[in-house]
Amino acid sequence: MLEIRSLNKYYNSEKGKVHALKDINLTIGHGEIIGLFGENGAGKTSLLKSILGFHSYKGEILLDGKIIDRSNIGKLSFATCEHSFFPNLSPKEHKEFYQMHFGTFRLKRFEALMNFFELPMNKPLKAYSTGQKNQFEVIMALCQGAEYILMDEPFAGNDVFNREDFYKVLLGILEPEETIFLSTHLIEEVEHFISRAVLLKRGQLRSDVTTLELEDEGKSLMDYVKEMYHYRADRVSKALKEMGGEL
Amino acid sequence: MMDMKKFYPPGYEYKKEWSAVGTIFALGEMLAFWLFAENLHSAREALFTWVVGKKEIMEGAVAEPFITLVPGYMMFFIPVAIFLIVMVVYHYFYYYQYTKSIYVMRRLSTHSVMIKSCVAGPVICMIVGLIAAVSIYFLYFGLYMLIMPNECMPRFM
Repeated sequence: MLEIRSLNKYYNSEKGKVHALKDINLTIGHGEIIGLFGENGAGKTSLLKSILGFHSYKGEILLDGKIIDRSNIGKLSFATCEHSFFPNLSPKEHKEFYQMHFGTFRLKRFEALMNFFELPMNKPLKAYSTGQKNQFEVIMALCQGAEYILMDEPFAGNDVFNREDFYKVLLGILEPEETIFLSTHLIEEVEHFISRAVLLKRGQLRSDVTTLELEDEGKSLMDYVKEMYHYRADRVSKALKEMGGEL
Repeated sequence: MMDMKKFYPPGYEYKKEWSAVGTIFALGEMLAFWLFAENLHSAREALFTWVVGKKEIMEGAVAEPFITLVPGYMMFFIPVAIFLIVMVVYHYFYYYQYTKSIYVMRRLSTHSVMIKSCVAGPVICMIVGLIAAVSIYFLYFGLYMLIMPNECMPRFM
């Protein structure tokens, strides 16, 4: 279980000290597929990077009751739109590196996913297309053998068919104890893939709801997100009207 | 042949680094040799005198000790050492180049893997360079022994 308690994250910007995460409390159990949503700058990436220990923070993050350090960080994997593979290495060399350093590496899954997405095994990653790089990034996160797979906008740049394939494959290959924590803007796309939605707004945990609860209320995830964000549907038409008046 | 790749960050083109080190080292050694050759020539010439158009060893002439002909020899190794120290830092920032592979390195169970990948290559390079520099120093000594007349060798050389 991943427990986040009273998490606060500050960073310095040109405008001064920014309170990026405000008293976040969250518990993530085994086997959940959680969508992390929020506007740009809501704190999604800060939250994921704090969990991974890439950012300093105030508060407590525990993994199975223990502080996350070198002894248990292997239980976490990370796929990011920034990419974290070694650009000069081929997938084959990545496989060897991961096998050497992550005892839990899932070789069969790796080979199956590489075949499914028809990615060349001996080509350096820097020579891949953006879509292929994204695919590989996610494949490595899925194959590390981690219990908690954190993803930060992993499909940015992939076409819709490709993303669709990924969701299906993910649902097919995940084992019951594997947890996905996926930060994305693609709310409608992941609605039927996730079991729980966490919403951040300006660094605060705005909502934490299961998709079952939403179904019971007869709401779509998109409607729910709009509601939580107090989205004004007439905002665009009003603005256009005003602009039209000026023109 | 030792696989040097394992002493550098994954995918790092270490051969370019070795070429650069080799070039800096060679330039330093060339300069060192030029100074040594000049000093050796002057020291040898100082042992001789011209007697009726004939070059002869001066009576009681003693050659300058070898050590004075190669002053501060190891100074020429300093640029190599500085370059290798810079490379240690560069190897760390390599993990931020093009992608953030640092995220993978920070998820490894031991911190030593990353430290080793940043430091081991330059340390090996430094050791190889030092061995080469010392070997060349002995070569100079051989040259000194060869060129200086036996009867002029200093007593405690």
